[in-house]
Amino acid sequence: MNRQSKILILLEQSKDYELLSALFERNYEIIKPEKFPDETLNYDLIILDGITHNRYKNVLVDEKARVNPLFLPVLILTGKKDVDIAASFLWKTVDEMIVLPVNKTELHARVEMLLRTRKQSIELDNAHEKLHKQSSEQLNIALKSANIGLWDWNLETDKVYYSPEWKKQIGYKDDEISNELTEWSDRVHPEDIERCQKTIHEFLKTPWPDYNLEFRFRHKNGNYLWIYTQASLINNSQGEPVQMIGSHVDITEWKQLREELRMLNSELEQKVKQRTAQLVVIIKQLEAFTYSVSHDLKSPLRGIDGYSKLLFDLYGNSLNDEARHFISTIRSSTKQMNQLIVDLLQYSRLELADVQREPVEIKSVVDSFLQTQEDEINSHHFLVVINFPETTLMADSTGIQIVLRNLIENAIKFSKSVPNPEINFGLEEKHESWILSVKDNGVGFDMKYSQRIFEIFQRLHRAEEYPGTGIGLAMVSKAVQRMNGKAWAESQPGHGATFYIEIPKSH
Amino acid sequence: MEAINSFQPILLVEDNPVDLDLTLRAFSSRKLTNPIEIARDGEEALAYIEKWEKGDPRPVVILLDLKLPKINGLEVLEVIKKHPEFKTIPVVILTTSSETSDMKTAYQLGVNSYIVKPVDFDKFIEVATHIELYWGVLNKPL
Repeated sequence: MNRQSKILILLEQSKDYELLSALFERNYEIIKPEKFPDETLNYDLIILDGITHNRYKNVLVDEKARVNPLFLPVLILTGKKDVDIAASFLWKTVDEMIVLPVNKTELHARVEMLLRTRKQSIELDNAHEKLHKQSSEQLNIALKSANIGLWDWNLETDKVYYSPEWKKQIGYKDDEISNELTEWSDRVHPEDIERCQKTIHEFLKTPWPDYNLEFRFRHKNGNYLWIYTQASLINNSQGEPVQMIGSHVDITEWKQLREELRMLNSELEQKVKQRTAQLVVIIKQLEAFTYSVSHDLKSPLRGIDGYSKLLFDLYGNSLNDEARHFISTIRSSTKQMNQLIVDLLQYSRLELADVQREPVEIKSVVDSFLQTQEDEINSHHFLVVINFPETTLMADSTGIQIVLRNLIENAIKFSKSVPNPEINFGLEEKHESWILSVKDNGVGFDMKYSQRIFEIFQRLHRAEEYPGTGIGLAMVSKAVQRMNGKAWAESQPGHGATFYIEIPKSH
Repeated sequence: MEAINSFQPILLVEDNPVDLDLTLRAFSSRKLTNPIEIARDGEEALAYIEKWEKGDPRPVVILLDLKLPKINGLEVLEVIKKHPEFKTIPVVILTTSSETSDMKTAYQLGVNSYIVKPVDFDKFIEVATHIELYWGVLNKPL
């Protein structure tokens, strides 16, 4: 602010005025008004005396209020006898006091100080205005880019301010919409207006914190948009609502997306239902298939075995060795085929059956399977050691039986050819599981096959060396998986194998 | 009494010709003297009930396959076991099915024994022996 400061001098005696203006005119612009107050006048400081102060004190209050928040300094010149009276005006109508006779230096200093304060107040006000303008611009940009319309309803006049964005949402220019409340209410969908008005009415009566509404709102083009509004109330000093201010957001697209999503979800649910129904049919078919495998596939096998046996019994004497060998090959093939069917059936049943959780006395199960293999165990002089007392596990009984039958049969099959064959059973309790192990000292296998042996139809040996269907360990693995456990093996060729199964205590 | 019993027939209900023939041969290898009557489906089996009512000799044992044309084995079993007079005739299910649900139903209907036909013919002869000993001979008053 480089302009020269303006001083308004209101002194009763014109000679005093002459004196003072002569003193200041070099540095300041002096104003002597024809009349006072005068709204066209601009000044930075008022100098007056006791008489003019008395005359204008009410005007001074108005003048100060008019320019608020700017500071308008008032300096009073007073005689010694009136000091107390003048002092009582300080900070009401008067900001500074000089006692007559005037000391020129003091007067200069005080005037300069007041003008400096005035300048600072102007600078502060400018800065404040600039900041306000900036932030309201930013708010407008934000509201515009977020497509948020504003409305401000004066409850006393019933007039509403609608922001340009509010109007733009429904296709109107700023000057096309008045300040009437009907600009809003006439555009709300007939089916929604009653509900909206009821909610507003209740809200005005007893307001709640998160007021919001959704309604259909007519666009200039006749289509309806979905509008989401949020609002709050502003109360006067008596606590009565005088203003309701809120936002408008166009949620049409969001609503459509939500509807599409809902449709997709219900379609998906429908599809899942269909698929489930299809799966149920497939499972039923599979069950019928396994039933038919157990019944129909075995019948012809019985014919093949029966008639080859009869052929051998009735006509064996008239056949040569080669023909008799053929017959015995037919019969052993039949037996293998039968075993394959039995194993496959059990494997597929395992897939379909529910997992049970029941007490299993593990040592008894081991004993009973050892008994079924008694002939093999005795004839090959197996040493069988069970390294644990009777223990009750909570497990799937069918699964445990499948596991033990297969592991015991395997241990015997792969160890009976070695001298002093041995089978060791172990059971180790862990924090959350049991680990059952079956260890033999048989032919073993290369660890690079340790995973593959658990896959169905995977065999490491030729059928004539070690007969089998290639399903046994796959069944072990499946039975353990069903209990959320796992199966694995450790071995070294020629040094036996140990098979482990882990059974979680809770599955 | 022994003479009468040895003429009491065994009723074999079996649709599969191979199984039928092998069963007959398994019994004949045991030199069984009882005549064997044959029904080739469920309907034929039930037709025997009328004959017994008219005075034909009732069988000493009924060997019943489950999977039969027209009327299945479990239905035949149910009719026999509900018959006021013939429910005492021993019925042995002789089948390929090892379905536990079939076994359960058969026992609920009052079957006397349930034998799963082995594929191995040697074992089948053992089964025939068992049937003969238990139901053919044991039933004869000593």
